[in-house]
Amino acid sequence: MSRPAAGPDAEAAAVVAAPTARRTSLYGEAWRRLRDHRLAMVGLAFLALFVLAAALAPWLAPHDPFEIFRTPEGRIRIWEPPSRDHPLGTDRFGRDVLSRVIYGSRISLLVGLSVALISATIGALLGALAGYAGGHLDNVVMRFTDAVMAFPVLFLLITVAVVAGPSVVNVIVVIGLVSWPRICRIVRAEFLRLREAEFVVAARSLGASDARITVLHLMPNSVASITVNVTLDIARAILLEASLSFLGVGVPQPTATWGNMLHEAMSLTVVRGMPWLWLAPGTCILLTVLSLNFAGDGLRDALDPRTAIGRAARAAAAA
Amino acid sequence: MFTFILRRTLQAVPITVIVTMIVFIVMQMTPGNPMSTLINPDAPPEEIVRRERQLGLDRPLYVQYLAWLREVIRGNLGHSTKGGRRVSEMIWSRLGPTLLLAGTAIAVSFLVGVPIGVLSAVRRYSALDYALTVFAFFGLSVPNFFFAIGLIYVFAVQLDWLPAMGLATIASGYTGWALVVDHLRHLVLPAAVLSLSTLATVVRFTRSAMLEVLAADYIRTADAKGLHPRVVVYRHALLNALIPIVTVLGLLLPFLFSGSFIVEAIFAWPGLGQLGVQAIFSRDYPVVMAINLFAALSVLAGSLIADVLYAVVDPRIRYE
Repeated sequence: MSRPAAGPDAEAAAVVAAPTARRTSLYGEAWRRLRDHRLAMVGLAFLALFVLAAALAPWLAPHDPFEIFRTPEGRIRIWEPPSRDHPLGTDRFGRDVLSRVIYGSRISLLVGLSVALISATIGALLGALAGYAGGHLDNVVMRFTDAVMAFPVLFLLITVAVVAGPSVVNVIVVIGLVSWPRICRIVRAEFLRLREAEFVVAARSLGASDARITVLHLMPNSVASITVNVTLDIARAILLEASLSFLGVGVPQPTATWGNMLHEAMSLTVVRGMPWLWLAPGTCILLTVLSLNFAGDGLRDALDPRTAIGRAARAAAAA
Repeated sequence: MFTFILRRTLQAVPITVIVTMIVFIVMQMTPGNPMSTLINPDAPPEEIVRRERQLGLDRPLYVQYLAWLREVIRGNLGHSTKGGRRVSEMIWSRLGPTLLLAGTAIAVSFLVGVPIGVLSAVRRYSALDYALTVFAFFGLSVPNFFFAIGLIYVFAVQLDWLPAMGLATIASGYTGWALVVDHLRHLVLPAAVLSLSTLATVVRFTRSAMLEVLAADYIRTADAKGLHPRVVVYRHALLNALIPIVTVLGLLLPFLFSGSFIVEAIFAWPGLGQLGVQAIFSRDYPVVMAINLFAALSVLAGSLIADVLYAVVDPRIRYE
């Protein structure tokens, strides 16, 4: 895909910018490009905060997320509006909402990373197999991929989640099992494109085995696109977990997740009268997914050398 | 042209078969015997025994799969375990509202998304492009249930402008024009939620398709011969950029189906999505699996139609 420059000045700048680039490693160069991507940096900064919150939850949270608060008379503090002691109020079991929001980041992080690991593993293996072997095997794998992609993921997920029973592990496995086709397609395309490339033919003629070619020559060339898609997969997985838990078929109580905190907002009474219950967890999901999408977009630009000229032009136009 | 359509249709056959297999396997995982729901529970006992034998309930799984497939092709999707209604009838009766909602979302996505995408591409790297890009990412990132709750809070609760529930005001006695307006008012919020992510997709896709076309030599030629920029952008560039946008239609269908489950559940919209969510909560698996199957087959049909349309408008595809 060719990208037009923004104007004659930018075009000139791009031409000048290219040869003056220092000789750095491939990833050093990519990092430099990523640093220029403002939205990606904002996203990464927020993600760092999010990981920090998950790691430091016991120290950051004002209360135990499972503790049920009572008034001096012994009545459970159900649905209390924000106060000094409970900055985001309490939920229908009398638990502190702020603490639960902070602890909820752990589940999102866990689900996002585990799903990405599962889908990247299955996707890369099947994609490599299909792209390298070609022929009938390729056909079978790709038709299977098409079939999985035809299902509206969310509903299939709900179905399997209900059948398997609600738990964190089931949510992770189920989302992982429907998330791999995207990476599979991308890796396959990459392998197919490079299978007959000169450096691969050279390696083969030197007697390299299929395994060696796949692992040492072809896979490294797919790492860039896998990285970008893993980022987007984490975002999708967090959204899917939240949707499942929102519907009440994902991660069950009493575990705090942003999605199951929003489950309370299924009732119009809560939507109308208690915005503190749904505003914070919803905003957290939105910001996390948004950050991941920004980071993914930045990584795509940074890791794909074909768009490098476009980035240089953008930097020049912005200056 | 004809051979292209034929080849593309034949390609869809194995995928369709795999889809039915996945549905059948998931059905086997559900509690109870899914095959027995193919038999009308109100039939006389000897008829039930005869049908059980015919469906091969005592035979190996693959025989059952083939028997099930034959019934599905005949339009028999089984009976609901709650009330025993035919599943195909239940789906049919819920199709209208879902089509209305999804159709509105598609129309909004394209009518609003294409102009925004064009604007974004023409003013590339401007503050406007930047703002529209952020908006598009926002649309792709916001959880639809959170957006729905937010809209209900603002427009139905605080401002009290729009209704938040159902297809129409119950027992309103509206007729004629008033009834149409009532339906439209009920449509606004769910359609807004459902179209947000698809709108964002259309914007991003239009933008990159336009950028690619705007870089072409013939655009520079058109510019150079002094044509008005508007003519160049809309007549020369957009018409060509629209060709790949056709394929987005096929990509949007799974989004719309997935979205409709949540949106219909929240807004009490009496369509397929609501039926599906209700069926899941009442563990009515024949209905759940039938909706899964129906949705997946619609997606396959949708992408087939999109590909054929693509070939109709772009001769280059046909001769590949």
